Amino acid sequence: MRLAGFYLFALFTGILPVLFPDSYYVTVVGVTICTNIILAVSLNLLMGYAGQISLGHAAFFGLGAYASAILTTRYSLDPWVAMSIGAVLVGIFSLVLARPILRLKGHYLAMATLGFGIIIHILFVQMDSLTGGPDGMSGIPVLRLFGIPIDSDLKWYVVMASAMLFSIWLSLNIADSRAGRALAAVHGSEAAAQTMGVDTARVKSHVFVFSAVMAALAGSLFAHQQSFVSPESFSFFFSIELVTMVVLGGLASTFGAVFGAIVLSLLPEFLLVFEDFEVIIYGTILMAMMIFLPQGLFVTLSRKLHCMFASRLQGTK
Amino acid sequence: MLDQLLQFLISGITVGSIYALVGLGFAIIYNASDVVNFAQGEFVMIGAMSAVFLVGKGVPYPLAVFCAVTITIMVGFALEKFAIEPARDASVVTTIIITIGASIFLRGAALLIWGKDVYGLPPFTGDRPISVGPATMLPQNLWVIGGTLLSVMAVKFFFDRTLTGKAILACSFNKKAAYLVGINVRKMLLIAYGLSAALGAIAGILIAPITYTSYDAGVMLGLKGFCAAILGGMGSSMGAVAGGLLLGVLETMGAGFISSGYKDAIAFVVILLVLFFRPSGILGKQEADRV
Amino acid sequence: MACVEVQHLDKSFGGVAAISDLSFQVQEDIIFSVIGPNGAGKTTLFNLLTGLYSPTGGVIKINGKGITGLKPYEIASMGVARTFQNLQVFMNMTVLENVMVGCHMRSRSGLVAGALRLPSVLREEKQVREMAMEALEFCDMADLAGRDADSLAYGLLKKLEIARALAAAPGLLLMDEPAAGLNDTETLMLGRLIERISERGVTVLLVEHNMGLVMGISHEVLVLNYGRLLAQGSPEEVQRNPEVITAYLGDEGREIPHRRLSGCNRPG
Repeated sequence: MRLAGFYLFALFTGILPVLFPDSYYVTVVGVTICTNIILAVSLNLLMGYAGQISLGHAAFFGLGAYASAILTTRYSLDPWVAMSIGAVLVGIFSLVLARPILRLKGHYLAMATLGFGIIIHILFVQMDSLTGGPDGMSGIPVLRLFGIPIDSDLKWYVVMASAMLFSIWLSLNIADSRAGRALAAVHGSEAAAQTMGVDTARVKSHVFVFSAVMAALAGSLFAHQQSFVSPESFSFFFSIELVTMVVLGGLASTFGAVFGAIVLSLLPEFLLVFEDFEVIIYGTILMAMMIFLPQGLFVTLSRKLHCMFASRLQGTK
Repeated sequence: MLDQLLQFLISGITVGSIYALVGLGFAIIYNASDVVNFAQGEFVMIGAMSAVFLVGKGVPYPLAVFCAVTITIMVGFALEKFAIEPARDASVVTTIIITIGASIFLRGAALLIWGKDVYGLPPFTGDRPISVGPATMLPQNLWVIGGTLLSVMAVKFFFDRTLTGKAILACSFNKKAAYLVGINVRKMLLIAYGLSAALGAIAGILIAPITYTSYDAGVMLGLKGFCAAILGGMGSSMGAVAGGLLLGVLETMGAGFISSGYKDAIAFVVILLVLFFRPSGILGKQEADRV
Repeated sequence: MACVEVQHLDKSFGGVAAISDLSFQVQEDIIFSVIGPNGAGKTTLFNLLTGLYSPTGGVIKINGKGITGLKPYEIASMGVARTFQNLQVFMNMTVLENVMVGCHMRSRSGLVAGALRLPSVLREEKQVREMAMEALEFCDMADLAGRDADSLAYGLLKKLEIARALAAAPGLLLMDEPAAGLNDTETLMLGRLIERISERGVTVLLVEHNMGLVMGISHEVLVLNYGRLLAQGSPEEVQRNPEVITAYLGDEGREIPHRRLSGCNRPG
């Protein structure tokens, strides 16, 4: 019952490639959507659950991607080893960063995370002996799972969809756990959380690290899937896109983040002809959502449906 | 070595002047409404782009500048009226996202109107270099520095000496009290946004002949203006000006002596260090209350 | 041993003294009330006791241990819980979840274990749920467990804060104006609830304006005025204290003995 929505969604993602195995929208766009869902869900842990704004989430995504790219191409490490090292490095890095950065609040936190994201992006561009500079790196080896090379769109869909479902499962579990309640308490009232015995600095830094590592792992998978990385994918604007996804669906709701990621990943596919409109549309969504529907589209809609059903049921009684 | 230093100092103060004006705009809006306006940089871009466009259409230069500033002020009014005002009771995070949304919206609009091309403005008064000791500068450098100085003085005069300026300050101290003594708070907020937009536009027009401009030129300028405002202690107008100048000089020196590729990173490294170790800014007062 | 020991406590905000040279002791297992006019420093005292503020001078000891420099959560882990004057209910959660946050210190599992929903987490969740339900039942709110906190009426929110604090199984409970905004019946019920809490062996420190409630249930009363101790003693002594009557209670002071008759009878 607790995970009813999750099973329904898992069923849906499982059926899609069976019904449309050759559809570009399922296997190609689907993989992008899965990546974005993992990122939005991980950002939502920090922003939605704990209420800590982050305008630099793309940086962790990028760090994971570059760690995999560099370790596999320049040091010929096995992709899974490289991925693990990348995740551990990002974990340590984010742990060091967490305390000083999360001591900040509101616009200071926004500025610090933003600044961090931009610095990392500049490093990707500038450290060209390591990162290949603005041109990026290609030739990232194929990922193998149980000896099977993941080398087709459909196989990637299976891998990314599994990873995506796993991340949603983790996020839903956290919401319903001691740590999740502590995070929500921090979001609700930091003073009250502290007097309830919640070490707010600790829980905040834990979720910061968790969210960063999740993004880094998504980055590693992304690097192998694309077999190419360049700084462009991890820019400040992508961080803002991720925030838009979370906000569009509704803060503090895992499926809100999923919803936002799906909508905003599909948008450019349908707006391909009007490429220049992308920017203004993101801006409009951000503004309009925050002004008119600060709860988010998904959360508001699901509440409405819930109320409708509830009143129906009462009517039949 | 010394002439290099002097050269860097000149360009540092020039860039710093722009950061100072943007930072000042940040501080004015923050003081009046407790909102950090992430769309501040777009004012700079709109000012510059409108001026470029008008000059290109054959409008006489001074008139084009005047119209460009006016257009930007209108955008500032619109921002307050349609984005900030409807969400006046929203949380800090919400207003941050709103102003980020506004900035992306304005950038998107500029992209649709002017495309992705890079534009330049002709210098105000020729481009014959002036030698200053061992270094040289362009007349436009003087225009930037002088224009900034004038604008800052005008802002200071406005807040210190005029009734409207004092009324805006009153709003920043206590909105309810200001309202009760008969100050039209909403109008004051509009004026603050308009003033801040005007400063942004002036900054954009002053610098456009040196750095060129494009639809996305406002992003970095805006963010660095924000850095300047934090550096000077959020909410202190003159602090923001000092912060901007300091940032400009640091950045140019860093780019000159370390690596130009990291030029944009310097401002953000500085700001992270300030936020981690002295969050009230270099010139700001330490905040006492935490609860 | 005294449960709370305050010695020469000072707290000033930018030169304005909110508490000055305050010393008192609270014995274990009693209901100890702090009264005084608005701005007397009562909430400041609570914020100092829970570590939200740090004192300008003086010492606070809880169960004999100094709390200077401790973080609020560290003080909470010494068995100190509190409710707030301006409600601090977590509006983004259900009633039960609010109370489950109260059990935070009585459970262990971390973020990763919770994310993976390990068997140990499942066991603990069950225990936490039971503990929280027990606290809700104690406050007569068990039937509201599944409701969203933001759908509750004011009186219930106040009670929810008490249940949440109790879920932490505190030895010392600080209650900041629990009766504010409650009607007479609710106040009467609240008085009974506080006495039942006290009977469980919880020391209650109460800040309250409702004199009927204070004089009815307190074992000891401390009167603060401008951050200084004006009087301390049993409710009877405080009510008889002429300084208190003139300085604070005024006309109401004379009415209180009558109210007491209709109040609750308590042992000793």
